[in-house]
Amino acid sequence: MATSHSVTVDDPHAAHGGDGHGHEEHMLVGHDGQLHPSRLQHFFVSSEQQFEASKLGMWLFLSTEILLFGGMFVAYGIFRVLYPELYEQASLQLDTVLGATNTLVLLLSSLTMAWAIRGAQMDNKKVLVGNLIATIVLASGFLVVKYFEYTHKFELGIWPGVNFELDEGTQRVSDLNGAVALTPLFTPASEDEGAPEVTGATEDAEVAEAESGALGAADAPLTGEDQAAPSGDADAVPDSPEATGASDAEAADLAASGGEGAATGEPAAVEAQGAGAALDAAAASDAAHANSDAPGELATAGVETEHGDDHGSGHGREGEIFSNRRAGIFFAIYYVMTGIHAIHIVIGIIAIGFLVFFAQRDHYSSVWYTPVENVGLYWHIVDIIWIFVFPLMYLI
Amino acid sequence: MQTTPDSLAGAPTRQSFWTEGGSLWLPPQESTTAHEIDGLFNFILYASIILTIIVAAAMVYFVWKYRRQSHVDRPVDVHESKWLEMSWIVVPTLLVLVVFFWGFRAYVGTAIPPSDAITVNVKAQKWAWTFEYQNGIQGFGEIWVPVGTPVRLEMTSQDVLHSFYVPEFRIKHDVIPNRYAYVWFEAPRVGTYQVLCTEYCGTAHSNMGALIHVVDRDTYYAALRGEIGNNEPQAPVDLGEQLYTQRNCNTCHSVDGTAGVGPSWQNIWGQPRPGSESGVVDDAYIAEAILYPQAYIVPGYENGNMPSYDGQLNEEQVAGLAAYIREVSGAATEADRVVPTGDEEASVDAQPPEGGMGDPGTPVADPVDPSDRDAVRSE
Amino acid sequence: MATLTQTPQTAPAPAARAYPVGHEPVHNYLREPRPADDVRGLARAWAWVKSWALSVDHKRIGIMYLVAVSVFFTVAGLLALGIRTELFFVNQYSDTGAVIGGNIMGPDTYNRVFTMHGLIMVFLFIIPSIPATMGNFLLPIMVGAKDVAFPRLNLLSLYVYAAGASIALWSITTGGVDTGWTFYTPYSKETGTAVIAMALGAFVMGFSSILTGLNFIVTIHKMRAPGMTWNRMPLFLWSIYATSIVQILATPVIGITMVLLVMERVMGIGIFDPALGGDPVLFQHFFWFYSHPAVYIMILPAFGVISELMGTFSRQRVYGYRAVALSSVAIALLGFLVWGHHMFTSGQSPVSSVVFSLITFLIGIPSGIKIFNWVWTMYKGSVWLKTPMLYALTFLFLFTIGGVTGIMVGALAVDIHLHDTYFVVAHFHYVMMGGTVMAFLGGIHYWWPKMTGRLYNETLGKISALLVFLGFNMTFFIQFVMGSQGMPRRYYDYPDMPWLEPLHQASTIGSYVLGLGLLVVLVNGMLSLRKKTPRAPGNPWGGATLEWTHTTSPPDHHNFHHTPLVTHGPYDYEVLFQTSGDSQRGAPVPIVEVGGPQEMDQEIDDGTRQPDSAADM
Repeated sequence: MATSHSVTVDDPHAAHGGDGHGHEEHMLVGHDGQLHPSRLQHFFVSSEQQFEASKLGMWLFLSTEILLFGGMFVAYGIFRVLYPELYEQASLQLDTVLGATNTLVLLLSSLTMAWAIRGAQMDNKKVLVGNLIATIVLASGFLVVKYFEYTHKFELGIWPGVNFELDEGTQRVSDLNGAVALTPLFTPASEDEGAPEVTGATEDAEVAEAESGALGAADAPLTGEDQAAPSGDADAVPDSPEATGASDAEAADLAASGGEGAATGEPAAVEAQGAGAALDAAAASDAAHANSDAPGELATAGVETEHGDDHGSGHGREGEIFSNRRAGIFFAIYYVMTGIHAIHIVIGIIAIGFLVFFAQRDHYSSVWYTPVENVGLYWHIVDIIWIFVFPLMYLI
Repeated sequence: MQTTPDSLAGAPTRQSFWTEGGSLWLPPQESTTAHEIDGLFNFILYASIILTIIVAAAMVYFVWKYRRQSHVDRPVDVHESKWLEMSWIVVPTLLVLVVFFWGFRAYVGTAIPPSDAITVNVKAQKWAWTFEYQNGIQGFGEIWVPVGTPVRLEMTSQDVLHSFYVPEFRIKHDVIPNRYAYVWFEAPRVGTYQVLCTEYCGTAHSNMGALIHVVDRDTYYAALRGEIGNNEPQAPVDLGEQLYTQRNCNTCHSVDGTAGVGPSWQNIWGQPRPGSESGVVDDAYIAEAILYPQAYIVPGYENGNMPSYDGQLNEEQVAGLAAYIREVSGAATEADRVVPTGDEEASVDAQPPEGGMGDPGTPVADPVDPSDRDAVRSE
Repeated sequence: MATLTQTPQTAPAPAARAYPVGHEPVHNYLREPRPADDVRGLARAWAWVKSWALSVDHKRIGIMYLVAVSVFFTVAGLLALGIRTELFFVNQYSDTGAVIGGNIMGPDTYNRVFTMHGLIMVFLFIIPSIPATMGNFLLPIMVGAKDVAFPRLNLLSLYVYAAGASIALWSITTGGVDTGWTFYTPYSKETGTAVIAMALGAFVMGFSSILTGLNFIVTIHKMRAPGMTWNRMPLFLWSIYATSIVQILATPVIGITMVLLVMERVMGIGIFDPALGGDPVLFQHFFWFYSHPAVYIMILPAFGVISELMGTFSRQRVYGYRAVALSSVAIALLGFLVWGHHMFTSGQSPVSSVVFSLITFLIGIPSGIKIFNWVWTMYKGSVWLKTPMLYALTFLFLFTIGGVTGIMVGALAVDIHLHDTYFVVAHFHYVMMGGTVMAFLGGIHYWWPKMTGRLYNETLGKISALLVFLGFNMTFFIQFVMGSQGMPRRYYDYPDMPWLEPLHQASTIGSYVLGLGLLVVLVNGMLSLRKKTPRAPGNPWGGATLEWTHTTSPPDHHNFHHTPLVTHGPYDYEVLFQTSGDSQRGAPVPIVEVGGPQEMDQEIDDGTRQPDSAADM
């Protein structure tokens, strides 16, 4: 490996000067005096060994990719179980047509990729390069569709997480942050109704008196004041210091609605009543606080919206989802999953670009096309992940 | 209502490493479930000691017996014995299965509270515990519970994860925002026990203690009526000074000018503050800073994460804190030192409970007839 | 050796004689490749640096990793001493609540210090410690290959590790991290410290871990020398193989978790934020889904090292070879199913706690099998108490204690009391430090002659082993007592339990002794690199694995001149008694006898050094 300054490093690992033309294997003499195929690195015994090793390495890498996305699929599943009605509402906001288009585009690109590998195996440079370019074009098309999808959502104010815009159009969840209520996910399992708290032969009148002060509703363990602890006020900054605490009525509302759907420890059973209702109530009261023009706009909890006809049609801001402060979670998972998937697509485009570059220079032949094979494997896994993302996000 | 730490035996019962009823390994057992856990602990402990001694003895013996005598030692070829290998697979397996089922049984016992337990709500926040009876009477950093009665704690957190731990009761549970967590205990003896936070929660994690006073019935009823502690109306300044330590303001805010996690309170009254409407530190600004701390953050203290006290301090208490800030800024007015003629709540003198904090070693007779209790539980 | 490209050889040709094929001069990997003789001065130094920094030789990469992890081990160890020093006295408070005595740092500093101690020890030291140093150095030699399957990826993993470490350490300059190494949300979401940098650093270092694991699996699967069947693989390879499986399958999960945490902080996506409906316990599940397997990433390689040490220094087949090998894989796979035992008190459902507890006990059984097998390996052996063996015996004792206390914290009811106390701290230090670090030190001493070609000072080695053993037990055994008495972890002070002060003081003194012992190890290593220390023979311990029997000390640039043909198992020490030149005494004779005499250097430099032809067997 000759370097500048006439410094020579006798490096046995220096790349073999492999610019073999044509399709016959270019042979070199290795340091043990034996002939080597030019593509064979010195520490491998044979070309087969090298090819198998690369392929096994690629498969292992792909398993890590599956686990990376696996984490997000798990998050998706968990929140789907926690907020089923939220997911139903939110997936209506996704454009099924664009999603389906993208699915087709990706499936086609998988076909062209496989065809390209076939071209390499057949020593057909035209098929190889043509199909690689077709794959790049399709992948770019996928990204373009994604771009339109995203920008449309941003216009509607559908941002992930805390920036999700609620009904009021001007309000984001983050604006409420000073006042986001920590309403418990799981309301405590209700006690036996009216079970006396201090049982005993000596039922003191004093005790009874003392306990009659307790909140009657045994299934709303925290008092209204508690429930509304840091909540209630939509204004992060109160107008005056006197505006402390939530109004009692609101607190009672919260407590009551939170208590309605006692989740009995199985959040799946929360049918848009328990936590949802509390939230709706909270959100609504926030709304009423923020611009109290129409307090009557209370979103009624648990109403089954008729969906079906509005699937994939106009995508304005409609649906209860826009009054639900937790809607940001669905879109957070949506953006993270599709975003990381899109990053993988970009990486794939770059890798295929390299393949095109080298294929033009006749680097690949039926004897040695390992990179084409490996990039092909990668591309298929990206495709398969999308095949799972699409129905989960868009269809159900 | 307020409670003062010295209203009732403020210090925990345990004051030394060696205690009656404790051992080298474990604190004294002060709950009805502790002995099950300790039994399993001791079983594993002694089994482990025996196993470790066997391994160590075998090692030492082999090292000595088969030490290399010369450079040309040619050891005997040892062939694997199926019996030996099977034995040290099967025996440990049986042992761990025993331990598992034992642990499982004890766990079920500790996880399910009896149906006749009284419920106390617990709120955790940085860096203090607030207890609340079902009737709304609160205790800051301490709680009185009746002896010999199951107590179920219903816990939730205001900010980050905390964990409620009482070593003598062998109970622990993480306290999670947005969820409820439950633990229960039944203390057979009168005493005062230390609550610790075991889930890392920030600066004052190690100072986030609380006390559980296990007291006799009468004292408990008094506490339930809000009669324990100092109900005397106080001058705002005194109230503020009391809250300063009671509600853990002193964790972050000094009153002697040294900067802590948050700005010191000394001499800030009337100082210019861009975050304030009037431009200076005044009553309104202080109220906002206490109730909505994120509204304006003093430059240089961005990492403080002051928790919100909205809904936790009433107007009187906020005013008291403002008065105390005036006091340490040397701007206290006459009005700050006047004891309000409290007509909103009748002051009840604290009744020192009879036989309250007796010898912790004396068990108090179970006030409930056991047969009655079983009847209740079976319902 | 070089390819036969047409680049003119500027280096002077070696002595003008033609070598028969396969008998070219031996190239010590530490010296070759090197700058040509006519390069002098700064240019020469620069060429040396380049020849190392750009080397794809697995041995050089292993050495570079060794230097890096040693530096981080030192840094994190000093942080640990800071933690112990802070806890020496319980704080004294004045009437106004100001601390007037007993502390050397404030609570915020302390929180940063224990967090950095944990993070550096876990991510920068212990996870890469044995696999990336000894694994890289030995794995290809042990399977009889010239290099790992993907040498360039191997070098890339080193640079990725360096990049991740730089990002992580950069967070110190911007305020450090104070979340504890577990990053639990919501605290890690709202704290004002440099969580983002640290999380990204951990994310990047994960790639390094993945690349290393991937390389090792492919190498073991595809690059074994003829005759190297799965049943003839040294147990070190089995455990590295099991480790690599865990690295590949678990690391991506921490990657995505860290990405989500960063997004949570940057964009407020709400997945872990309870205020937005997220679930902080989900973070714990994600975190432990990686971090519990990660503790097997830490301990499994140590099992492999101990197997090698017990075999060689007892000169006896490792008892129950197959059981030890398969238990490694069993532990690796079962390790994925027990993460929930970190969360018995976190509010996961009691049912899952029970299941996790049961599987946790099951995973204890293979570990137990290993301990009994190692002890029984000495039975009727020929035990040679050299420094590596001392460390191995230390390992056995400490790991036994770590294991049985693991049973304690795995038992449901008992863990409720012990969780998040010093008992847990002591338990995992017994396993990680008493296990992995002891094996690491034993392995370093064992392979030091192979890596450097020098012999360390045996007396200093024994002193260090003794100090480490005493200091370690003094530090951590006391913490078992403190923990079961209720001392919670991560406390900067213990105002509610002042009676624990004497125990803390004993623990702190023990930590200084431990630090001294580790310092002796460092000094010993440095001293052995001096010019005048004796050269190491090719097989100083009488090992029977390929790195002892078929390579020189230090190994040749290509490990072997010919691909070795493996004809015997890794612990068939009988082979060493072959009559290869020393039949009179019947002493075990290393098949490759290299080193010792001073003229070896001369011969290497002259190019007249001949490898032993017996290497072809």
